[in-house]
Amino acid sequence: MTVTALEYRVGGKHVLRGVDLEARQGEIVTVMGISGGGKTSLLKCMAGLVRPTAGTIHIGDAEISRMRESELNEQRRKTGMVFQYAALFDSLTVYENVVFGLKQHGGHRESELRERARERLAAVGLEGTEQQYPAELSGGMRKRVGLARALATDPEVVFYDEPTSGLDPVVARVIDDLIVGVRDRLGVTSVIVSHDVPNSLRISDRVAFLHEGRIVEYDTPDAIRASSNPAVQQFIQGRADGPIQIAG
Amino acid sequence: MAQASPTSGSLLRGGRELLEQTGELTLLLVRTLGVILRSGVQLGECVRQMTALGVASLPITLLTIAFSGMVLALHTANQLKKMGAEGLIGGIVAVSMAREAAPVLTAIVVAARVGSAIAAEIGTMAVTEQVDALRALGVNPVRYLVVPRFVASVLMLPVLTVFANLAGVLGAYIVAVLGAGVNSQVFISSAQSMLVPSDVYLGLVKTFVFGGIIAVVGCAQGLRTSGGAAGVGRSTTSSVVTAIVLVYVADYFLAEWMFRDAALAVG
Repeated sequence: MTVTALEYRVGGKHVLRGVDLEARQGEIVTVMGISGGGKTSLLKCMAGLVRPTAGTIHIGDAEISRMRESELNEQRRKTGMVFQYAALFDSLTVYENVVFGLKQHGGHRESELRERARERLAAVGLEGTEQQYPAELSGGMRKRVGLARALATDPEVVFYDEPTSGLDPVVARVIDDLIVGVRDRLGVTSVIVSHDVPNSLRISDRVAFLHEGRIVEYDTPDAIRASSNPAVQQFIQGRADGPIQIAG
Repeated sequence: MAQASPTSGSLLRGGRELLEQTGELTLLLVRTLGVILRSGVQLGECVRQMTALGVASLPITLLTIAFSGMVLALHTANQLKKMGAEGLIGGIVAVSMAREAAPVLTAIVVAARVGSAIAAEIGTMAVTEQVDALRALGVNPVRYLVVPRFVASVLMLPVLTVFANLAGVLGAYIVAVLGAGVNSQVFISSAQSMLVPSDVYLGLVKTFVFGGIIAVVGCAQGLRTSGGAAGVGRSTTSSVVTAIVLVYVADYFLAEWMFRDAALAVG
């Protein structure tokens, strides 16, 4: 997946100012940066949910930034997305959520759907929850169901929006291990946006740092730790003083 | 250069918002019809929506329109009795119900009950990223969310109006016959002689349009919702207000088109 010179403006605000990023097959790439810095906008552009103002996004051979909505719907079947708050469909059971995409696109027998849901829920450690509703699940369980739903269609790329935010350290570790496990078993490319420094540096193959709408550093976790960029150092050390200024 | 006054500024803003909203509703209507023509409808989801939007609205519709019929009969009976023309009451109520009262009041009840529910449900989905989740799974939100509600609303509003007609006339009958002492047979024969089939079916034709307006407005407001719970509240209120205003505007133009000849003939 390759992102080139991506710009995104909304309501007169320049959120992304020329982002370049590439993720190789089977790689875990994390985009870090402060809250409100455009990470989710970047992720939604890459997932085809938001149309960028300028630039290109290639997933395999497909350039998605100028695709029509109907073409994007086809393209999105090859990708999965795990949302920050899971975004499970409230009125559907866990089983119905997991197989939703497959069922909507047709071509699968009910027995196949049941088997796929069982496999994916087992992969995230949630066997036996098929008939429960999202409201009956904890935050960590909802995120895991969201991951099972994203994986149900066998995507080539999975996008994760803040997968561990709001979770206790133990559940956050479980989610991180799942992300790595999914990559190891299924070979999917994973693009994560997060401001969780320790976990991001631990599980990622490469880490990008988004600052003022641009990727200012993109390297291995060890290289990021040793970065001479003051904004990167301020962020990973969690200091209030430095080039990153928070309004208010 | 002359500066625009605050009043003209707000008028311009209001005009621009009105144009934007009209464009948005038209676009959603075109996309909805396009999806129906290209991909058909999901029958199971449509039936579920028809139950939720239509069948569940029946009790409140019957209650509202029955009382409206009773009030209509009360006022009409008093006036006609003064002129010694109480024999006309059945016909006047039946024609008023069939042409105007039942279609419009049913649409108002459904806009308040169903339009708001559509906007709130889809609005909540929008602010909790469930609409984005649909798109991320390669599912067109118009096909999954808008089409079933549009079909249910367009098909169920005429059905509700048929029952509303009956409830309205029955309410009027109770007040006129039991309250104002109008002869039962006179009430019925007056209704039979003045009411023609076209009054009923032209009234029902209007409700297809009203049903479409209620669904499209509710869905459009829901899909454009942002800003959490407060945003959902704003969308819900806005969907009811917009739908009611558009129902009345559409009603005028439809009445002008459908009943013009009848009005001229009477005139």
